[in-house]
Amino acid sequence: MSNVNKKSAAQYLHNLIESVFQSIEHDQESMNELYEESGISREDLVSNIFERIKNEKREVRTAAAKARREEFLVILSKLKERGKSFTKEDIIARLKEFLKPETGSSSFAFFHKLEAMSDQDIRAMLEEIDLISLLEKSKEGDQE
Amino acid sequence: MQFFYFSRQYILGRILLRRNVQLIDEKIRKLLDTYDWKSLITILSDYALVKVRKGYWHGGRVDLPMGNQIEDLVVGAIMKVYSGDRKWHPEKDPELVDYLKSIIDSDVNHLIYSYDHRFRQHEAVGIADSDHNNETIPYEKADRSQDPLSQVIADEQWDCLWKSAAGDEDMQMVLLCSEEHCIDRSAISEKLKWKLDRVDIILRKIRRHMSKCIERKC
Repeated sequence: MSNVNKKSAAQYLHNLIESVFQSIEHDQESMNELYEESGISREDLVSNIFERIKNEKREVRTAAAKARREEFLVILSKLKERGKSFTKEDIIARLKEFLKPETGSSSFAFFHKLEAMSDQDIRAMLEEIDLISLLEKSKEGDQE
Repeated sequence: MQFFYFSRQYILGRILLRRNVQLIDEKIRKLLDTYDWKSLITILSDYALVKVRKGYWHGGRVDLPMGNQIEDLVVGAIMKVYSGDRKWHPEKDPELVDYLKSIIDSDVNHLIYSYDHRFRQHEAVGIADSDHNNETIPYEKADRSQDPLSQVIADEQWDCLWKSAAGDEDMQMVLLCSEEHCIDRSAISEKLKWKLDRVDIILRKIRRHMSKCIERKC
């Protein structure tokens, strides 16, 4: 038997444990024994984890989809709220501004009809345009 | 006339914050989906089991605190990456498996430390670093030689191992190597001029005896 003092025994044991556990990772038979000693079935463990991950991933995705839906609901309510504080002239000016960059004969024709539209229709159209614009931005964000 | 847009990130961030959910970057999610998760889970399960058992042999707890299991460690690590709770940067940590192992390390140390900090502050396991109160010494690295009771236990266990090695020269050689500060299989292989396979076989034999000695069955 080796003659070692108490303090050294702790250190030697530490060294040996490190070596043993490092070796287990390279020795399948030892790994199987370790599972057995721990009362764990490796197959069951792996398949349980796999199933749990599948379920939890689904939950995260559902939460994300719900969050996106809420995002658009928040935006929609903000737009509705905002529309109330503008006059018809403000909204027409805003639509004019919005349609300008993508100008074409059809958009000008469309613009000329705005004056004749009711306040409610114009506000609804502004909301739709803004929503489409936000949805497009969101799509771009997802594709990046 | 000014139109104020709430940025998409701002609104999404507010909603997710309220729901305690973080979104992962779509590119990372797609990259994660390309991995062979069955084999990754096997590697991580092995790793977590070794980590917990090693901690126990080093004088830690036989099980994880607060009812946690190996399964919880592995699921926790993977979901932290999938949910964006831990941000994986492939350019910084190209090996996903190593990144996940580091999360398991950190979770085990955190679990052990938070438990021991509350219930066993003065024991050698999971000692807080006095200069960095938020950090912990990985519990398998805690120095048992500083604790008198642990010293006595270690002495008994070491004696037990030498008794088990009686008549087995190979085992004795490996024990001697540990006394000469060999701390891994390659060092033993180099010192004894043995192939790694041979070292693994002897270490396996020692491990079987260690189970009895450390768990005080001898």
